[in-house]
Amino acid sequence: MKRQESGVLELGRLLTEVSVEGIAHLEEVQADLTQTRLLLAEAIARLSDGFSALHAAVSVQRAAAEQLQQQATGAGDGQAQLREAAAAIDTHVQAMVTALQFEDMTSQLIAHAGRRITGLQGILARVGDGAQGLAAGDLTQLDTLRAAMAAQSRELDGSLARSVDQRHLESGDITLF
Amino acid sequence: MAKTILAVDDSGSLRQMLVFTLKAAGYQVVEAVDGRDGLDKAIHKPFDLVLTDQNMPNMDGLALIRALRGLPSYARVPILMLTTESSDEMKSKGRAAGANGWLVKPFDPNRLTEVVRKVLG
Repeated sequence: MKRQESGVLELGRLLTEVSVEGIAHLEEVQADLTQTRLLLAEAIARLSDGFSALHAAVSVQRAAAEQLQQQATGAGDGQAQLREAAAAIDTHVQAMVTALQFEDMTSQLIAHAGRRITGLQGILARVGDGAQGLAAGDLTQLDTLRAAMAAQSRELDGSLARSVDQRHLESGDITLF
Repeated sequence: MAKTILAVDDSGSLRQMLVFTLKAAGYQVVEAVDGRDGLDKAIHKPFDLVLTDQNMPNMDGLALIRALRGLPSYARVPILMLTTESSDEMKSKGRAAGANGWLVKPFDPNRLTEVVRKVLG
């Protein structure tokens, strides 16, 4: 009997430590995610601004080149080259506009991961509370704790609908009603 | 006169790409940062088309569409959903709310422009 009581006490202490350590580690993960989100936000702002400025500059350059070409005599080859270059630029621009939408999706995924971590911290905190009862020798806390954990876990799953399934940056489906 | 589009999305980078694409196609674009902001702007100014995200703080895209469809001035204005959500269930909800189309992100500029031209007639 004493052995069983001792085991319950040990289990309570162990779960308390798991709770405390787990919450501390998840706080670090949460901080890393926040830092990642900030860096991505800054990166996409710079990339988008740079892209827009570059496109504007190329457009001006293209217009100037076309004007010069029209003024030149015997400019047939040059005009064809300009048209080819313009078409190539347009293709790259379209591809970049699609690719530059990555931050919208990654920020949603990071936010989703952050909400799950917060939920997991809540579950671990609940484990810590129940473990204190176990550490005090109250074996009935074990079933209560198990049920509470399962309920909290289900609640967390239910509140976290996945909104981003994309695995590539290819354009999505279009449905008109 | 250029037609005016209301682009509603909480992602600044996504809005920037939308503005870039739609302006290049000859449209005027007004941005809104979430559904509530979009509704405020739509109430104060008529738009020819509303393009909205689904998952946003304060008011999501479906709630925005329902609110707009409740306004007589937006009963016939085309509304397109542009979202990462791709499930049939969500598309059905969008249709029931009054959306005219469902576009899954990321968007291709040429395809988006084609769809916008089509729904604007």
